[in-house]
Amino acid sequence: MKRYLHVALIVVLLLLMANLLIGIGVFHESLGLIMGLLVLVHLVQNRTWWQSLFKGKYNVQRFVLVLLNVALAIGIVITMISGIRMSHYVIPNTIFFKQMGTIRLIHHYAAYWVFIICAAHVGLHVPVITGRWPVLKRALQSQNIWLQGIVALICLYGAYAFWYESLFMYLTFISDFAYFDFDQPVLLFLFNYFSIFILVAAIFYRLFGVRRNG
Amino acid sequence: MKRILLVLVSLIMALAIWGCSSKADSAAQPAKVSTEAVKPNGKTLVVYYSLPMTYDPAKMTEKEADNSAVIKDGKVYGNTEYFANVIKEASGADIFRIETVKIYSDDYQTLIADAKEEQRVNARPEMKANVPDLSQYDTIFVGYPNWWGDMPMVLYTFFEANDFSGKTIIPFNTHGGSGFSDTINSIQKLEPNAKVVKDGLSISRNDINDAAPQIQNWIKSLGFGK
Repeated sequence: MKRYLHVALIVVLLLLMANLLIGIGVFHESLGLIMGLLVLVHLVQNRTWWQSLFKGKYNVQRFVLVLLNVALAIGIVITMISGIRMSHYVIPNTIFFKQMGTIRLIHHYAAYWVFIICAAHVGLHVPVITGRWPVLKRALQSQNIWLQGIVALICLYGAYAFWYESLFMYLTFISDFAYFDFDQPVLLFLFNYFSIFILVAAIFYRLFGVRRNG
Repeated sequence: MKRILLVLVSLIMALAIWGCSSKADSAAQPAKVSTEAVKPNGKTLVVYYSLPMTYDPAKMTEKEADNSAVIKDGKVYGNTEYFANVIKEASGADIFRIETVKIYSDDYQTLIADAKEEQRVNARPEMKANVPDLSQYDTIFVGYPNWWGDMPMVLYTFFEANDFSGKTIIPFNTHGGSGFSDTINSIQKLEPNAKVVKDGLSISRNDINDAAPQIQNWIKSLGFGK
């Protein structure tokens, strides 16, 4: 069952990035709450990892992994709290809050970094994923040239999508407001973000992924 | 591997289709109006809403000047106000400024929070005055800044107070990065019997200072040049 949670996490993340493209604010806010719940379950399911943080030796790989996981957890908390503060469909906010503009900015900055770190997180956990999806494990081990080709193509497209969706501007805080093209099909937006996700995951898998053949 | 990709992509497709169908709930999106169909055949009006942080250059911070105002020949204009005036000069149209009875704060943070609150309660801020005799106009340019991914709520008051049936609405807006957001669809929903031009012009606050030539070209391309 854990593996379906993982899929759900990725799918909900992609839908969250689409924000108002998939419908009025109530969808985005509800998905945010669902994401919170999914992440909570995910954290609980992996509590032994957190418990073992201060045990054992650290090498570069483990350090990167811990750093990213902690950053991800913090980023998600920040995104959630700022989102809840701004909510007007799902959370009964009634108090006028002067810092709304700052809260929005925090949410905007955190959201895009969470997206990227999530992808890195997946890249670093490829063995865990292939452990739960035998078909993926077979694919990875087979070194089939066609499969590698498809993934490479998606990664290449992901680089293009990274530029197209202005991710660099958002991640470096150059752009304060997210641009959404409401004339573009939502599917294209989702595929763009999916490709970026795969690209970042692949990069981190190559750079820091633990190679385990079990 | 292929199966997993298939499952994931199918899931995303299914959800995207669901997402797309909720967009189809909004008034059937009219086909993009070609520029030929926009040629003026009656009087033209430019309506706009603009709220620069202050009109006093002495009180203006550099950031406020950058983000919300255009200063030409020592005169201060709001971004959208400047945009509207360029359209007016280029087309010879009449011009009308939407103003609210409510006076908004000149503190940026307070203003933003207020705008968000208005969105939350779906407010309809009262206009000081409505367009006197909309019936004489066939084409109306409507301009507004992008506030929280939408039109300022007073624009909802404006559209609900007027009937644009049989008229052409040409949107223009200024923004900090979000472009039109979904406001063109919102306008179409509010005025289902109006022709809402899809290729409105959206200009970033970073570009509005030097945008006069671009605006003039756009007016010409629509057939409204003087």
